[in-house]
Amino acid sequence: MTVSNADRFLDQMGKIAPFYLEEYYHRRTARKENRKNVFQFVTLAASLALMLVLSLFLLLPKVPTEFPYESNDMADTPSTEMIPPLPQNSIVFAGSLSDGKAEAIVSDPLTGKYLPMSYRLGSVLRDADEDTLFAFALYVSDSVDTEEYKLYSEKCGEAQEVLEGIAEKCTASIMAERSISREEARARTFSHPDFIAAREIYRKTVAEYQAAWLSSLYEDHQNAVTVLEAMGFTPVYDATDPQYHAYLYEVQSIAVMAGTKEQIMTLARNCDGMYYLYAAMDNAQLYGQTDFYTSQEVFLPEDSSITEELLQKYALAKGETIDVVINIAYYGQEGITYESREAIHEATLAILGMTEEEFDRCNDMETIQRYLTEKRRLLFHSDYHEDLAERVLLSEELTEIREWAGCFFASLTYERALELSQEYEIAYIQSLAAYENRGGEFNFGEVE
Amino acid sequence: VKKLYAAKKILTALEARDSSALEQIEKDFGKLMTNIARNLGLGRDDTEECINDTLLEIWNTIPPAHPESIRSYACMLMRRRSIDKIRHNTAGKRGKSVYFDLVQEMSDWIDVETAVIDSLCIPELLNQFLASQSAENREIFIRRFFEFESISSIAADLFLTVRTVEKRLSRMRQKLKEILSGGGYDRV
Repeated sequence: MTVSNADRFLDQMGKIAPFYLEEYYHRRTARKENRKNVFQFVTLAASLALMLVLSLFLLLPKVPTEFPYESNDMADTPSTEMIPPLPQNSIVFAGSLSDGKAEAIVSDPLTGKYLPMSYRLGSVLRDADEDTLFAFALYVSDSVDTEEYKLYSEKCGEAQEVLEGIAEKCTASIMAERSISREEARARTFSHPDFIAAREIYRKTVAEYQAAWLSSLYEDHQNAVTVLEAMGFTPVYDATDPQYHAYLYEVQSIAVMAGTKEQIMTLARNCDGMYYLYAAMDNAQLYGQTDFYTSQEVFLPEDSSITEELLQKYALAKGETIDVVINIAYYGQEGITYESREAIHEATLAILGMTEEEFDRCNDMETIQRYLTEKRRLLFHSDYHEDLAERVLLSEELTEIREWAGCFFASLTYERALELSQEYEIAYIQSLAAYENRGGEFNFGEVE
Repeated sequence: VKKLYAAKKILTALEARDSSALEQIEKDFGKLMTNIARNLGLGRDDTEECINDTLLEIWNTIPPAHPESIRSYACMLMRRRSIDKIRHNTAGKRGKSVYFDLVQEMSDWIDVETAVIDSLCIPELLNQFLASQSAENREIFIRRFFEFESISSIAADLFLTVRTVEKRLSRMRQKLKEILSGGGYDRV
């Protein structure tokens, strides 16, 4: 048989240095182990949480709870440029700084619950061997107030305003050109050249802002790194290295340190009391913690309201249904302000026939539940969502109406997705997997 | 550390001509080796044949060879065997395998004479290229071009989208091309 140049080249690729292969095998094994550990932890935590909830339910007096308003606004923080390399087998803890002294070490990559440190340390470190190296970020709660930082902060705010203005203009022009819904136009805004150019400027400004913040903080707190070094911890990287600024800023830390179980336990013994858990973030979480312009970035092909990633999934699905998220064109949540929420609160009380005082004193769970349902209905126009779902979806297709996020969860075949994407009231359809891991769509390191 | 120790023991056993080392290799690295063959689309029988051939080659080459890592060495030989097998099975025609997709991909940007490909120090340039990449990118590259894993599978395991992995691979190919150019590719 003939062997082409491409064949020969692929043959040569088998001669990768063993070092790199070992590095890959090591990463893969470590990841599997971490996932196994996290899974075990999550199972345990879920059982404990369930027990706690049941105990509270049985033991505590019933009191009105605050309405669980779930904002769909995106966090205002920029995304990360890259995920920093951490020691193999690392479980990322976060330590906090108080008066320049390292205080606490807690958390794992997947959860952000408030738990006693001893519990977490016990559960996470118990099974670790002596050689495993753990990494943790030094969290800094101080505010930064230098003149230099203020200047960058102002510039950053201005750049964001400019970006938002341009995004609005792009959305409006796309809506006008194509006669499509605002939500779909918003999704298409990401690929508009004006927006892309403005976003580049915004990113650069954000990078300067982060650098100024970190530089100021590092100057004040670098002695904590020195103290930890004296205790045997190894610095993995710190705020002096610009390539890690985005990550460190995201976790509000000045450095990432690594240490053995014994070193961590020694440090923990020198801390007193309970500590809150500040979850250091993993890859997926970091991508999710971004602003409108990055986290909700959706790639819609020119001629389709189905995202590219979903089209690819359908191409592989061979006629099977896929779990999808159907984003509604009319976004019921828009325009909600503090005043309008208050008005809705009063309207809900009127529906229930209760005064403010009666509601405050109310301990009846059924009434409170009814209050929440009615309020949610008013807040997010639930009637419209339910009506739309009934009109466009078959009952066996619909999984959930998530009115506060303006979308439905459903299970659809490709043909049905195509049909639905033609509906004016549907903005666009994406896969559930992409929705849940929305950051996976995009990160700052992937600028084209 | 335990694994490193085990790998060293395997090497020592091979040098002492202890055939139980081969069983240990199959036990420790069999899954990795199987993955390579399976990714290439080889069936069960072919995969087993490749594993047996690989083990025999390990037996015949160590000593005198003394690889840095027995795991990498086994996977490298397995890869070679699996490629040979897929080429043999589909001699003269293009088969359905990720291998042929990769060959097609490569053909699009490798358009030089055979002699040039052979004369380039490709492994050296390749390692130079890998050194310039992040660990995650290296992993993506190795999984795709060394282990022949599908893009969707890589994406799923790394919690990335297929599009992201494709984009990264595309950039890496571009970068690799640049490095190859620096190594003589442009002097053709």
